[in-house]
Amino acid sequence: MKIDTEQVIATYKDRIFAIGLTMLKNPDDAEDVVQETFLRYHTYKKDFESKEHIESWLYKVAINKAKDIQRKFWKRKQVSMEDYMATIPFDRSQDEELFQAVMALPSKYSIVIHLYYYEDYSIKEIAQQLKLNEGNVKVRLSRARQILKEQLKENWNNEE
Amino acid sequence: MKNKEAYKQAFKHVHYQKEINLNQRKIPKSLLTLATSLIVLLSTFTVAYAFDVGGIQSKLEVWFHGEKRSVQYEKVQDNAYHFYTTDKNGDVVDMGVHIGLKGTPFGIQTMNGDEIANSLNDDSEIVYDEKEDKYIFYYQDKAVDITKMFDKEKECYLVINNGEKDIYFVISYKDKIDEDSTISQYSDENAAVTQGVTVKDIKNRFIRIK
Repeated sequence: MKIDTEQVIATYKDRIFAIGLTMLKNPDDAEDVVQETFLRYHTYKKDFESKEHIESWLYKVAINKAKDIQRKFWKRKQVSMEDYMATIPFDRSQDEELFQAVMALPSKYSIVIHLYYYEDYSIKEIAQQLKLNEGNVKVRLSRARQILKEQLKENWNNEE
Repeated sequence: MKNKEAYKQAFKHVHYQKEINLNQRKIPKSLLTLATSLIVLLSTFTVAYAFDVGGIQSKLEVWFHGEKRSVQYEKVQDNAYHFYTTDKNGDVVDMGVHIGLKGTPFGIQTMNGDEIANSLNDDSEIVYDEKEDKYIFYYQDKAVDITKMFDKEKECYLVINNGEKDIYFVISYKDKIDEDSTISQYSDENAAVTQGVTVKDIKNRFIRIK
């Protein structure tokens, strides 16, 4: 199966942008991730098995693209995170603090946190997506939670 | 509110705003050069801006990927410091968030940013060079291609003189070198590598890097 590109864009553009933002902490670079991911989908000739397969494929491409950008020597910060955050209409101050705390995490922690808490991925699914073993994912998740707890205090629960 | 609900609430207003162009483009080389020049100019400005943002505490020199780099840090939490450096083009390189602990006569204490920066000078790191498909081990001014230096036990033994003394490294991994490797570092030949086995006992395994 192959879903129409426009439909895939409508469904996933915000989610892929959030993944790019979480990994790169930079809206310009995150926009590149979105652009390149959908271009890749649009020109991809093979069929997918299911909607889940498409989602997993898109996230894999987006994560790899973000890793490529991280490695590039000319990785830019044309728009600062502070400027970008000023454009987000957060409902509550706690939302802004949580967003800021996630953006301050090293990428290897923030992507794991994001896939777990935003995309509802299981540890096994995160391990598959990031090509890590489950133990590594658990360690990263635990360290990230610890940092978030230290920073957000009562606004971040001890529950998993 | 549960963490998952709070997280989704925090990210619910994150939207991709631009149009997505599905036409593949080829950029003429002259335009590419111009664009790159502009990017470098912009980034130089941004570096200055980013480093002027409140909270930057210090400017120090630290070994990073085989080169002495100017490093700055920002205190992001009580004991955590976010380190940055710049590459040869002046672009910001994120060195991650570090928390340091030190033993004192009064027990274990946390390090301040300057102390962490100094301790980074003695840090080693493995980086995967995707272009060359190589794993590079960095320690101070040394960059060693360790890709084919592992034995059957997935262990690699190196010794490097840091100008003052020999430092012994035992690098091991489980599945992927850059993802689950462990680097054990010893400055004393009598230090135990495993129970009952000291560095001195297995000294002939270490390959000296000059």
